[in-house]
Amino acid sequence: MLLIVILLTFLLLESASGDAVDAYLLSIGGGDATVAQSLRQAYGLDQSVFARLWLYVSSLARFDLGWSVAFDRPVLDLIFERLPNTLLLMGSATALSFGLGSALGIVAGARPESAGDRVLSTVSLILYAIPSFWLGLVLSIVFAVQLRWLPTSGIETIASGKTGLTRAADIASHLVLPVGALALIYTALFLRVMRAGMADVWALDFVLFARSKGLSRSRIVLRHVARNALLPLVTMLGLQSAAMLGGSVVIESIFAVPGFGRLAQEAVSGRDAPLLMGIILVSAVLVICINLVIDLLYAALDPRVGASEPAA
Amino acid sequence: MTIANLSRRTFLQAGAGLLASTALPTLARAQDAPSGGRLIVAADSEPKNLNPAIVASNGVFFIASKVIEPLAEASFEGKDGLSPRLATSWEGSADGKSVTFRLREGVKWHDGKPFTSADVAYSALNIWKPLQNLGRLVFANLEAVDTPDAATAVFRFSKPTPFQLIRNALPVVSSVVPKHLYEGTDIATNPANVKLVGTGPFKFTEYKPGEYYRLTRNADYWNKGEPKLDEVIFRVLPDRAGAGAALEAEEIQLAAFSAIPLTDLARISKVPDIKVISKGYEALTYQLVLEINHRRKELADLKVRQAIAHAIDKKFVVDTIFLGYAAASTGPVPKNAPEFYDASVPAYDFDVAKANALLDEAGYPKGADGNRFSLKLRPAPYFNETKQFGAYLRQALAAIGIDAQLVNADSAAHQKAVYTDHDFDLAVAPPVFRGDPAISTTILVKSGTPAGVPFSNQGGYENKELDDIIAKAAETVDTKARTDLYKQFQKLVAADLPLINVAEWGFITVARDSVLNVSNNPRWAVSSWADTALQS
Repeated sequence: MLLIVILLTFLLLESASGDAVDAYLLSIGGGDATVAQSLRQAYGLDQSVFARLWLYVSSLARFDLGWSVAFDRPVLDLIFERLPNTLLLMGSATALSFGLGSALGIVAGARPESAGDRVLSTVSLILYAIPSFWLGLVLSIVFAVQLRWLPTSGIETIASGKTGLTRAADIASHLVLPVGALALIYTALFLRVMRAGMADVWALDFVLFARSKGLSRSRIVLRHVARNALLPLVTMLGLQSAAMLGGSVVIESIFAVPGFGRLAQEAVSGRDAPLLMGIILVSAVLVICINLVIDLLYAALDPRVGASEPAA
Repeated sequence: MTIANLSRRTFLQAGAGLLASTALPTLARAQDAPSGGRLIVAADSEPKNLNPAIVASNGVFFIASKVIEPLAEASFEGKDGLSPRLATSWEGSADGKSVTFRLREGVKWHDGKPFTSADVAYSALNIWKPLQNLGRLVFANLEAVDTPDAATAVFRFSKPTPFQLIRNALPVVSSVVPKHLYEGTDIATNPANVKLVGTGPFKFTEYKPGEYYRLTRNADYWNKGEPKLDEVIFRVLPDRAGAGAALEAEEIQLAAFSAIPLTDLARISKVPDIKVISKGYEALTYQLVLEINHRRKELADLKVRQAIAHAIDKKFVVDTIFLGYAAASTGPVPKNAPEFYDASVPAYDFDVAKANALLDEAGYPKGADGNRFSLKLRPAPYFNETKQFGAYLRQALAAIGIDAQLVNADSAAHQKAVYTDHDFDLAVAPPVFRGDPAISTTILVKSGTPAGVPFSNQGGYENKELDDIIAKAAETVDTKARTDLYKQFQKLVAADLPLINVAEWGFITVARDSVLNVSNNPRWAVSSWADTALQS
């Protein structure tokens, strides 16, 4: 599986016109032919595609992610430097949008077609249609430039010498806007899915049965309807966490968060094959792990999913 | 001035003058004393090799010029447009085979070791000449550097090398690095390429990838009383809109190199306490150039090239694309290089009728669909303005019956398509004029450059007469004769149009009013900032 990912990435990047030397010479404003040739030699770009692919895969087998040509540093160092920022950003945004989205979804789905449902559905549709970069910029102009409540960008105050809790608070204040921008858009998505799921469940027989038992409405909404509608939402959570890795490129650039998405973008524009493959590999592993957790969650939510016990 | 002329405005001016004269002494004192403070600047890139002796590019200089100094810096007032830095004087021999530098005494490296002529000799012979992107050309014939004493360095050339070229190149090619840290190591991978050690007003203190560079005051700087600032921080802000927001929110105090897009300038200039400055880039003039592939039969015809030149409305380009922050070009040397600039070259007014007539004459009549022929047009993606000019040019060419197909690609792909594969008919490029035509301008038109060299003539243009002038100027030692050759060069390029020069521009600096001594030399953004101060 991962091998296919490696192969595809390698060939895709190979098919893009221009290589790491082209990108580098451009960034320094030019150089003569001898310089270009010696650089290609140093980067191993004078060898054939297959020789380079083989070299990469064989070093990967020894858990060596290689050397980034665009940054002139080991790929692993770069990834470990940037990954925590993105995980923090993505984790907070996912948690926030999932929590808020499902809560609002329950409110909307409790009484489908009611006035409250209409308002929430419309607002969520508008939010979902907003491009994340635009939302990011608007939030930044309103809250950072006009009101000056929050910093415009960065992950923490530069060279502030803060430690411990004050540093954590500082990072949190820097994260409010990027997390907000990311979460607002995905909140809409979770809300829509939750609401649609609940609307479907209302029509099922067991809800009628619960009603006829004389259960209170709030108990029916929470224990029976919402719980059953939660399953597609959890599926969505798994899919969405992968999408958020990519979606954070834009937000990371706008808010100057040194994260994974920005690193990927720099790797592509610098035609930095080892770095890009490192990033994609780590992302793939990350997505696999998240989905494993999601699968375990299923079992907790729906006893029928506990398929490990042999059917009688 | 008669009484009748005394208007309300005059009174106001007089009043303001009076106010200023009383306020001045305190202000002047504030500039004399070290102001201290931390200047935070927007940076949009993080060069992997920060050593300006190896990589002489603006992206590197922007940060490194505060730490590592050249022999001389560009200057508005100084003789020959230079002000002394690590060298105090320089003189070329009559035969063009040697240049003698007197070096500043009492200068120390940031690690405490003394700076001597040995450092200059080492940098020149081991780094500038063999490794540096521009030094490889300027110092191609450098044979030896004699060091009769610690404060004298004599450069010896195997062939006559114009002193004018060396002088003009000094600010860019002569960054001196410490011999004691580089000698006997692999220069390309030396850790000092990232953690810089220099003689400059600021020491390289900290680099957090993706976040910032921190430079701190060098208390032992050779020019007593400088630097004024305690710290300079380059904050990495990849998004241009983000840089604007950070400036407005006072998180940063300065954004250079047009980090704030031109379209935002009108708005941001209205923000109180923010100034928009177009000065300070005179020695870093960028040129908007239309590269032509002469392998195309139609484009090999001078009349077609003239028609294209007539079809471009330079005034529109300057006013609409550059919003006035540019000037129309007349030829391959910009007006900002008065030493060489010659205005008396063939000119091409915006004249669509004439352009159409020229194309008819050339034997390319309009077809039934109104088109004469199609061309592939590749605008370079490096600047908004090069992309916008590509879109404009497509329309301008349509007006004269040339159907231009726009092909957009990212930087690396554009680079390979144009400069290696020659897969273009027309390309929009932004080359830089670096103080002397021999550094990066003649290469745009002379023949014989192998494929794969960016910002060079890859359009297959060959003109023996032009090549001869360029070759002769390269070895003409006499300044006057050399300058005259470059005037001929300009005339010939403008007449034969190997490429079409459209406009030339410098960048824009946007700063808070509290930042003092901004843009006071022609390479300000990439100079040392030793006298830059913050008003408290």
